Amino acid sequence: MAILKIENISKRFFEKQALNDVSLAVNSGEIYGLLGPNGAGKTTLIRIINQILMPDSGTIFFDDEPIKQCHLVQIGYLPEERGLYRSMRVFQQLLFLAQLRGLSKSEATVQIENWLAKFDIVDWKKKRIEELSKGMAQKVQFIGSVLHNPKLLILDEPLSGFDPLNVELILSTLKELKEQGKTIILSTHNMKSVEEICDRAALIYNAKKVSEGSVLELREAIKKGHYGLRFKGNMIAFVHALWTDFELIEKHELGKNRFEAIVSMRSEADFEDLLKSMIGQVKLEAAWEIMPSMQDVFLQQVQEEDTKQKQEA
Amino acid sequence: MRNSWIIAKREIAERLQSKSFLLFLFIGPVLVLLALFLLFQAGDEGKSQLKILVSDEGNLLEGILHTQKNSPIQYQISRDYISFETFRSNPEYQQYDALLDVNHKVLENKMCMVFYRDKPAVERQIGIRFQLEKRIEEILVNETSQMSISDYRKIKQPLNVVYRNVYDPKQEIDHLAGWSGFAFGLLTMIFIFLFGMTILRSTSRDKSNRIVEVILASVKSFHFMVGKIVGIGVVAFLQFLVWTLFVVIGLYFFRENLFPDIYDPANLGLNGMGSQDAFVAEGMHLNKIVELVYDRINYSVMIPIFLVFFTVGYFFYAAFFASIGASSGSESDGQQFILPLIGLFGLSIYAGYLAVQFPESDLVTYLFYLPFTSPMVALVKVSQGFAAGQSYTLFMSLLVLLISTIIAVQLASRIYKNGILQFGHRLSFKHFWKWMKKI
Repeated sequence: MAILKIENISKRFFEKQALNDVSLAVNSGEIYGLLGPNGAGKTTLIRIINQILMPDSGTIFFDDEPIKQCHLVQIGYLPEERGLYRSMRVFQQLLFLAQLRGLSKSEATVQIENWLAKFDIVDWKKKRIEELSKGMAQKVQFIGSVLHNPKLLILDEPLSGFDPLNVELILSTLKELKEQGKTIILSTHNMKSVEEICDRAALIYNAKKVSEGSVLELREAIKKGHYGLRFKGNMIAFVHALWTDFELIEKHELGKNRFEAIVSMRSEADFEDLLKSMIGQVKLEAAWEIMPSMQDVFLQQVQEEDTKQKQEA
Repeated sequence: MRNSWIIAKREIAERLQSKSFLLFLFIGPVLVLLALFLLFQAGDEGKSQLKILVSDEGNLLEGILHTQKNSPIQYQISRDYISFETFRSNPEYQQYDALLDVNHKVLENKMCMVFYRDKPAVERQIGIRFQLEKRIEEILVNETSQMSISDYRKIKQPLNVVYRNVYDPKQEIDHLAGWSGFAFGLLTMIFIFLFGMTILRSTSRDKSNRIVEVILASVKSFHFMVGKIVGIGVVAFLQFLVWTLFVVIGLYFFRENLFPDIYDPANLGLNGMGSQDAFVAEGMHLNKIVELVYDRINYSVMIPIFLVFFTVGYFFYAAFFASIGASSGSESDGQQFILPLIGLFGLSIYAGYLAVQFPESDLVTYLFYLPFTSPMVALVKVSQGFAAGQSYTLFMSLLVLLISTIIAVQLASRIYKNGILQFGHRLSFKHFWKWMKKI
């Protein structure tokens, strides 16, 4: 069931069309990737969901109701441009953000204590934001977006500025939140994280939604039928074994008589035929289907869109 | 409005925790009191040497009113009647600082007039009165009774000596009350400007540190703006209350501990005069600033009206400051748009001056209704008092200001909404116009 339905949203800023008839649906309990190059319209869409901006046309439904100001207490938002009051202390800052999201002082205090303990930063409670490093401040802001226990969490580039340890901490926290039934919209350029945690994703490009689907579907949609093989043996024997059904695309020598190769299928041959053809020719160590990464999906779709738009022009 | 109040509370807390605010909160009234003290003292300054022409047509004082050697007051007695008009314009009399008109009925009506060119210092006024009163007493006692002069002084009534400006002998021009309103108006405009600038800087800072996007995801831009204006306004109000409290305590302290000593005839070596209490009270009236602060300002009327015009005027101007802060592309941007506002503040203060000097002019009437100047002019008008049946004009002025404030806040909220998330541009009037039109 969709917690958030976006129907035919368009938004124009004077001469610039920021969003053009964008529709998508985010299911309850999933992590949804919102992808697209800079200036594609992702932030505008996020701001419209958060009621910071109003669309020129189209409707957004939250839990099947047209979204209103009152729904915002059920949404957590971490904007791309981080912002906190520099002179405020961590606790006061979080209390302020929690109260704006509808929590009472006592509820907020409990939540703040829990999250600070979870992130192991209880000592920072009385520190002023200006005393914290950028990464530390980002952690505080992340907590500020989740401490009112929102049903829907919208995170715009949540991993930027974090070291690998903290990236892991944030990703594991997002997985935990998903397990608790929260829905997360993740706008990011970090395609590895999309592959790792997103269930579904949409690509926005030049104000339009270009594609939408599960991460696996998106990757499979552009796969080229390439397979990888790691083996011990003679390369000449390996090439002979490929014969006319397979084509060698790439090879790397890993050591003496030890190789890794990428092959593609010809005719009707499949992965099983490939494995059969190797028997008795080389000693196979591993074989796998090569799936395009989300980075590949992103680049290919952007290129295709560019070409299409040039042709239309 | 719950969120507006949360934002307001944060603004209040931020300012109350600021060391510079707390410092100014307490140093401000000290500076005001110091300025008042200096004004009180300056208001008492006058010529130390006085040359007085005595018009004594009844020949009462010839040979009686002596000028002591090295006395700061020199008398020249004329047996001719000299009118104040003649004294004012006749070149022959320009060497004299004042004309003491001792009319021939002085023994009955016990009243003399002193027409001065520059108001004499209090000490000199007391000296003239003292010397004249003694001489008149001596004549009276000798002519009308068998009493000794010392017995008479035990039962005497004080002699009234009325001081009049030779250029305004009927005291038609009374600016003193108007200046009290001007002082309140000036205070209003200073507070509005100071706290308006705080709104501008605070909004601009929220934009530049990007907290604004987080807040706007929970709060409507209108509520955010109102919260900020109210929060900073509460701080302004608090500062006013603290200042008022300190200044009132300070003025009470002045009156109880400083000025009675300064004007007490006992300290001037004038012991032996009757009715000392009345005399001290008269002495107090002789200092314009003291008179303005202690006697002329009707605090029970001025303070409530000040608060009403201050509050509405603050919201009116705050809308402009908030718009500029929300529209700026960077923290330093928008400075050039403060200049027109400074111009309007200057106009307000000038309008207050005009209202003091020319209260009945048409221009002042227009400025009384113009929302940019009405908080200033209204307070001057109130201090001057309204003619019978004219007090409704004050409410008309307030109504115009109120309606203008509602319109200004509505337009400002549009600019606020459309401009607050725009960054990196160079602010121009085009932006204001564009964002004001956009709903």
